[in-house]
Amino acid sequence: MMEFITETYKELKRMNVRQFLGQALQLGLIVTSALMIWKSLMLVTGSESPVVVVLSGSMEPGFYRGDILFLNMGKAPIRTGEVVVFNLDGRDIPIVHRVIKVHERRNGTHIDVLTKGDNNFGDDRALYNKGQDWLHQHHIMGRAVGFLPKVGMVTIIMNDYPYLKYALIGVLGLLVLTNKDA
Amino acid sequence: MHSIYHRLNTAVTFFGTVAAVLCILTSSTDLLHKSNPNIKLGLREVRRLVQHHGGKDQAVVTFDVNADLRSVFTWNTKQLFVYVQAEYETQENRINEVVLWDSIVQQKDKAVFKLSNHKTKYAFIDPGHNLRGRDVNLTLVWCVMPRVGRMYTERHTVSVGKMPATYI
Repeated sequence: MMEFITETYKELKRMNVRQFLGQALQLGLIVTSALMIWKSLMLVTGSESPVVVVLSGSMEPGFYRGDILFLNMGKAPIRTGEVVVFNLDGRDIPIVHRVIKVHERRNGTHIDVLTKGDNNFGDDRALYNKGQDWLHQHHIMGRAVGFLPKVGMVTIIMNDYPYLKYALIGVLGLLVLTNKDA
Repeated sequence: MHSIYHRLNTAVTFFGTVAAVLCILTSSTDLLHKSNPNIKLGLREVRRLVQHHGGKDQAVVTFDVNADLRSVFTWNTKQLFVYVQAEYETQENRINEVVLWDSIVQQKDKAVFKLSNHKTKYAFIDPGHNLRGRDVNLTLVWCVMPRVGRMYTERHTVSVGKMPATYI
């Protein structure tokens, strides 16, 4: 580890300004490509967060903590059985649960939706804001269409231990900066 | 040139690529799978039809299900989420869907349902008072949840006639 740090330091010292700027540009390119991919996914799926990590056990045994869901909003109206991600007014953390009741008005402008976690005993009215009986279209951020097990555990661990996240970003950044191939 | 970093980077990238391709291939085998489930479904009895507190109609019903969903399972199926719902149209609403009963099946052998005169798991409540004399459909729905990849849903609907014209 010590060796790695001194090596990196020597490498950085040896570089001239031109080289350093080139490498910094390289790093910037990586960050912006990631951002571009994310934003394009948002456009394609119509969902403001196209990929979510399951944070609770309320959908077990289908989804466990750390599983990844791919979301799509689509034009089709919400129907029962779909697993939707919704955000309650005034809350930060989105919830992933299954739709168990739908009442859609004749003109199609208004929809009442009730959700429930597969692993929960009762429906989500206990979870909703006080006096709220239904979710409406604007609460819903997307519906789950694809599933990838376990991979999201990485982000959960990094959120639980933020220093690990900073360390990882720092090391990766240094590696890109001192990369000799570019 | 062949530093530890490079070797590690190549190994991790290669592992990721292979894993992603395998996941896509595995999920796409489901597209070729054709299931032929055998389903009988019906409403047995309307035991009560009352005004719930607050003027909402509530029906107490029993139903029959005779379904064999074993052919839905593939090697990539983690579980089926199976449910029965009532569907009806009202003057106000084009779509009303109310889930009455559900079950999670994780093993292929257990995907056979024989329910007779079965009580609902969830209350059959209309948000208004629209259930009297209402034409109702029952639908058996199975959501296929994969080990990896695409989730999809299939259904079987039957018309079960009208609800009683008066409260009982």
